[in-house]
Amino acid sequence: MNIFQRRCAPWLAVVAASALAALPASAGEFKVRAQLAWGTDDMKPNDPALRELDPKIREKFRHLRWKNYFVVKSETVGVPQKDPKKIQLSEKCLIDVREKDAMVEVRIYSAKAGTAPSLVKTDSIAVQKLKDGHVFAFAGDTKEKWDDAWLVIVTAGE
Amino acid sequence: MKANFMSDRQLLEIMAYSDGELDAPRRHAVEKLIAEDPSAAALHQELTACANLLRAHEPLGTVPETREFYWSQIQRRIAAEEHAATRAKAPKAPALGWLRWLAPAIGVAALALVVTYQQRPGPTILAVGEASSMTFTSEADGVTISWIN
Repeated sequence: MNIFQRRCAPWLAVVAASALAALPASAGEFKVRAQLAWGTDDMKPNDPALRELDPKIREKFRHLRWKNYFVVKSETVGVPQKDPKKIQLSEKCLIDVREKDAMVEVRIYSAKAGTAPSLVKTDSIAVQKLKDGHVFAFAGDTKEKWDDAWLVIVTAGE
Repeated sequence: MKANFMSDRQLLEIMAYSDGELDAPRRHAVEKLIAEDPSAAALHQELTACANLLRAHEPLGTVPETREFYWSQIQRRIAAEEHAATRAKAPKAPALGWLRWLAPAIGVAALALVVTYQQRPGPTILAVGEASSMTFTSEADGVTISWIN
């Protein structure tokens, strides 16, 4: 090893380590799409932000009784294996996801301004099932409007 | 079929035996009768075959959902219809003179509410703490729904 190599080696190591660290953490990470949807018998409100739920997913909810499902917010994220990834779906609805033992763990929280989100429910679904097109959803009655429902739908991301 | 040499009581005992309804002493008595009387044995055989046939071909009504999920959906529909009926039957308050003046103000307030509501569309979740839920899974449809109560 000549003097140039001896002097440069530590710097080259630092540069290589920095380059590795700069790689996106999500490279090769499994992605999920989380959608907050609204189930109702009413017609679509005059709000361009709302769009109808994908018919393929809509068909999977045929066991539920509502006529229309509108997507309020949709977000695709990588599923980390360590710290859960938070997804704020509305002012009052927050979920986080993480991969654990080939399962995607989904936790749903009720959020309120000025207070820490409180955990409502935890559930898991196999990564392979999501990859195969399985749809997972948390759902419940809407408290704001009689007889409507909310759904947090988790599918494999693009 | 009624065997020639059997009394009505024996006939009933064989039927009860075939249905597994007898206690030990009566069961032994019928087993003895079947062993000794070919017509009793034939009747027992016929009844057993008939029961097996019915059991094997009994039509079963099945639903893809769990029982709790299926009934909760029905309960939800009934509640929705009852609510709609109650609203339809609610008596209208008599019109008051001052309401004519208040009506425009109410209209403006209602419009403001509608605008506010439309700015914040969508549902919210109000359950706090680990909520109770029931899960419906249909592998055929490729869906799992965790319904939070």
